[in-house]
Amino acid sequence: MTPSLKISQKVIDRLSQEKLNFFGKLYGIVVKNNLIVIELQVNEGEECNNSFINSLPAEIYLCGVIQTGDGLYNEQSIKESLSEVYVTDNPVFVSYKVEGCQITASFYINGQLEVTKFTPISEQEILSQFLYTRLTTSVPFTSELTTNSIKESFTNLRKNVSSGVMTFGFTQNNIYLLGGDTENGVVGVTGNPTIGEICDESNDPAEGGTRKKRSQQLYNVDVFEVKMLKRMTNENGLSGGKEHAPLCVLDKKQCKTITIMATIDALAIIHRQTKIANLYEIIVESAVRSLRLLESAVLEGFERFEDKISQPEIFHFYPEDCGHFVTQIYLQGDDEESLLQQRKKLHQELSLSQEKPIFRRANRFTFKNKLQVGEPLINPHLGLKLSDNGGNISLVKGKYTYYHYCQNRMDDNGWGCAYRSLQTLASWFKNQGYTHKDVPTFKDIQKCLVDIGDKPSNFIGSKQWIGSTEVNYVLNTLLGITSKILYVSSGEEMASKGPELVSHFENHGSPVMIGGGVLAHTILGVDYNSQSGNLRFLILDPHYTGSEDLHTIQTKGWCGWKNVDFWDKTAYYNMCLPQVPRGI
Amino acid sequence: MVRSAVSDDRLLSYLHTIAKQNPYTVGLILGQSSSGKDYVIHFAKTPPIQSQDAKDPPRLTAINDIDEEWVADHARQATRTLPGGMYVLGIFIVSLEDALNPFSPKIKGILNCVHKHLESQKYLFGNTASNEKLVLNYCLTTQQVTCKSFEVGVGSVKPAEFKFLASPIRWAQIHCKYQMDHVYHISDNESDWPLKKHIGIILDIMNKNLKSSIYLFDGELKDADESVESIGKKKISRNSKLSGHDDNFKPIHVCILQPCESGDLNSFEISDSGNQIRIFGNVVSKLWLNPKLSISGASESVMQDILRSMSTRLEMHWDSLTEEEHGEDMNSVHEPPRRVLINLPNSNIAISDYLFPGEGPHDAKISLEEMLDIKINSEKDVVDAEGQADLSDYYNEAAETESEEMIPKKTLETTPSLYYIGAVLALFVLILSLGLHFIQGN
Repeated sequence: MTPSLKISQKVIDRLSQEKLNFFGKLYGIVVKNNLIVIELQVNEGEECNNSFINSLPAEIYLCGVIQTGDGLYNEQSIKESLSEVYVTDNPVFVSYKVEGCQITASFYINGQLEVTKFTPISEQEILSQFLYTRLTTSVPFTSELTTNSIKESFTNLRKNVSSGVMTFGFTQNNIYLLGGDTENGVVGVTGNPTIGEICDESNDPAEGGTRKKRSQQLYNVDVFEVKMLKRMTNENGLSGGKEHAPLCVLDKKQCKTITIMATIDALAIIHRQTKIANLYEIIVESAVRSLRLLESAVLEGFERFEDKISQPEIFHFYPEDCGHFVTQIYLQGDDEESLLQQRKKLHQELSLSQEKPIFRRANRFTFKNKLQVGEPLINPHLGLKLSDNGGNISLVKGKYTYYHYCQNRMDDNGWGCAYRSLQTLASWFKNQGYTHKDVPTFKDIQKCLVDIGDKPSNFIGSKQWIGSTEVNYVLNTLLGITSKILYVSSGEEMASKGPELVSHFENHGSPVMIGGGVLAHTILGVDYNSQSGNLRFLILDPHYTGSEDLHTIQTKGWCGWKNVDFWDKTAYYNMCLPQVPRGI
Repeated sequence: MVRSAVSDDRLLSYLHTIAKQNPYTVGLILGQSSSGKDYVIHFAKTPPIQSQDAKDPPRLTAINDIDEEWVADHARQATRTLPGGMYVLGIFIVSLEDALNPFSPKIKGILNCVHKHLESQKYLFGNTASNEKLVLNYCLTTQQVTCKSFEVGVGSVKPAEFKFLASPIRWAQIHCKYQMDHVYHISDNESDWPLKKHIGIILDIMNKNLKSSIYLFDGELKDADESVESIGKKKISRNSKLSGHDDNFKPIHVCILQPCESGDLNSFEISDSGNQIRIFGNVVSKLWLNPKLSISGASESVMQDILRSMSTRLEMHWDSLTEEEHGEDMNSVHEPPRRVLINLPNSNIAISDYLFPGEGPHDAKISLEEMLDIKINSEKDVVDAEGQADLSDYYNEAAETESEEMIPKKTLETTPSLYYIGAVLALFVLILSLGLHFIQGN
C-alpha cells in the first residue's frame, strides 16, 4: 500500500520564501502508514551535516531529500541519496520549482520515483496528534582529556544508557518503564494505556480547564516530563561479569581529566496513540541523541579551548517558523557574539530568516512548570474573537508577557500603568531573544531614569507616573532599543494612524506603548480597512488588577479589540514604537 | 499501649539453661520491632570478659558486676551480624533477685551505654527509631520472667509484656542483590585525603541514593503504607483469595531503582590528575520481615541492610590496615571482607559474618558461635553468598593500562574483627595447657 504523505505547512511556507537552488534533506515522522515531513535541511556545499539529526527530537528521522531550483534533477543521484534513509522503505523526494512555487513530491517505490499527492499539515494539527516527552537527568562522566578518550567514554556512556539497566519514570504519575526483558515493562499502572490518555489525566483539571475556556480549541506544546533511574539490583542472578563482593580499586594517574555531570535533556515527539510500553526505546533514543550532541559540543570545545573548555549547556528552541523543537548546546564561556557563526549556519541550514534572533540563549523555550500557577500570562490575545472590521489585521509578532497592576504583590493601582506597559514591551524583547536581560522592575526603571538625569534622585521609590518619553529612555538605556515616537493631539486623531501602525507591526512587530494626557495602554495590533478607512486597535490594558485568569481578561475586555472612540477625544497621546534591530 | 514482645518458647528454655549455669547472666535480645510489637528471634548471652592474665573469667556475682562497655560492645558486634530490620532490641538479665522492681540504675547505665555504642558506627543503624530498649529479667528466686521498656535519653521506664509462643513467628523473606559500581573522581584538592575519608563520602552518597530510590517488590510498585503481606496479592475478589501460606516461603525479590540525578548539576571540572576510586561488586541481602510491616518499613530495612553490611565490612577492613596503608598514595586494590550467611539454629533466619580473603567457613563458625552463643552444626551451613573476587583479573587489567605499580593489599593475619576468634583460641590454649599440666602432674 502506498503510504500517505503530509508536509508541514511551516516547511511549505519557508520554501515559498526560498529563491535559491539547493539540495537538502527532509526529516519526518512515520506513523503507521503516514509520513509527515517536519523539517528540511539545506546542504552546505558538498559537506553535509549528518549530526543535525541529534538536534531534533527522537522519532523525527531522515525521511527523504529535496531539490530546489528549476525543477530539474539528476534522478540517479537522488536515488543514491535516498538510500541513506532507513526509517521507511519508501523515502520521499520533493522537487521545488522556485518559479511558480511548485512542489512535486514522489515516493521511492521499488526503485522508481512515483509522484504522489500530499497534504499540508498545520502546526495545530501536529500538536493535536503529537506530544513531547522530555527526559531530564544527569549521569557522571569522567574521561582523560584527549579526543580519543572523550569519544570512547561517550561511547561507553551511551552503551550504558541503552543497555537496559535504565528505567524511565513519569514521576508525576508514578509510572515506571522498566524496558524489555522484564515480564511486564510497565509498573505503576494497570493495562497499557496510551501516552495521550495519561497526559490528559495528569493535565486535568488545570490544563484541560484552560483549554476549554479559550474561545478556540488551541493545542499547546504538551511536554511530558520523564526522569531516569538506574536499576541497582540484579534479581535474576543473570550478570555478564564474574560476581563477587565489593572491591575497591584506587587508581591514581597523572593526566588531565574532565569530570562532569553530563546533563541529558532529551526530547522525543510522540504520537498520542502510542502505548506507553512502547516508549522505552524511544526515550532511550532521545537520550542517545542528547549524548551525541553533548559529545560533539565537548569535542568541538576541546578543540578550540583545550583545557580551558567551559561547561556545555543545553538549550531547546521552538522556532515559530519550524513548529517543532531544535536543540543546541552552547559552552558557558561563549558569548552571543562568538556564537554568531554557529547561529548563522543553523539559520542557513533551516532556511530561516536572518533578520531576527531565533537561536540566542534568550530564545530558549520555557517549559511550563505545573506548579507555577499565577505566573504572568504569555500572549493573552491568542484565542480572542477576531475583529470584524474586514481589514488587514497586523499583529505583534512573537511572544510578550502580560504585565498589569498588582502583580508580584505590589499595589501600583492608579500610577503604575506605564511601568507595566514598559515591562510588557521589555518582555517582548527578551522573549524574542534580543536581550538576555530580565524585564526591569519598577525600581530598575526609576533608577535608570535617575541615572540618566531625567529624574531627581527622590524619584526612586516614589509613585510618580511616567509617559512614553520615559519608556523610550528606559528601553534605550537598558536594552539599547531605539523607539519612534508618534504624537496625536486628540483621541480622534488616532483614527488616522492606521497606515503607520500597520507598517510598524508588519516591519517590526513589537508591541506599542501609548500614553500621554491620560491612561497608558499597550497596542498589540490593528485591523485597518484601507477601503473604509476604519481602524480598530487590539489593546492590552495594564489597569487590570485581578489574578492571571485568561477567561476574565478576554471576556471583560482587558485584552480585546477597541474602536477609535476608545481613545479620549479631549486628551493628547504619545505612542512609543520600539524599533527592532535586524540580525540574529 | 503497653509494649509487647513475643518469642518462640524455645528461648524460655534457653533462659532456664543459662540460669542453671550461672545465677547472674546478661545477654542481648535480638529481633524486629514492628508497629509497637517486638518479634524476638534470639537471645545471645554476652561472653565473659577475657582477663589479660589468662585466669578463669570472673563470674558475675551481682548485677553491679556487669561491665557496661563490654555488653555495649557485644551489642555492636552482634548488630553487625544482623540483617536489616533486625536489631538488638534490648538486654536480658538472669539474676537471683528481681532486677526490675525496683528498676536497677545499673541497667539504665547498661542500656544507655548500649545505645551510645550502637550510634558510634555510622550506617550501622543499630538503634530503632523509637529509642526504647527492652529489659527482660528472669528472676531465679521467683522463677518469673518480667519485662520493662526503657526509653534512652528520656530515662523513663514503662511496663512491657513478654510472651513465649508455642507456634513459630511468621516471617516474609526478602532477597536483594545490590550491584555496586561507583566511580568516584578524586578532585585535585582532595588528593591527599586518606582512602577512608573518600570512602566515607561514597557511603554518604550511597545513603542519599538509597533513600531517594524506588523499591519494587517482586516487580510491584506498592503504596508506602501497604503491608509486606500484600505483595503478590493482586486485588482479586475475596472468594478467590490466594492461600497465603505457600507465598511465605517464597522469597520476595527487591528491585531498587535509583534516580540518576545529582544535586550538583553544575559540576564541571578539568583536573590535573585522573585519580579515582572505583567500588564495584555485589552486596547480597537476605531479610526476614514481619508480614504486617509497611512497604516503607520494608524498603527502609533493605536500605539499612545494604549500608549496615557495607559499613561493617569497611570498618573491619580499616581496622585491618596498617598506618601506612591508610594514607598510601599508590594504586592498590582493597578487598574488604565478604558477607557469608549462616542460619540461626532452629530457624530459617540467617545472620551474617564477614570473611577476609584467606579465611574460611571455619572462621565464621567459631566467631558466630562465640558471639551469639549458638552451635553451628556444620561448616557447610556457612553460605558464601557473595563470592570472592579473583584479584588477578584486576592486576592484569591495571598492568595493561600502563598505570604505575599495583600492589595487592595483603590483609593482616590477625584482625580485630577476629577478636572473638582470638579470644576463643586463647581460651582453647589455656584449657589445653591446663590439661597438659594436669596430665603431667599425674
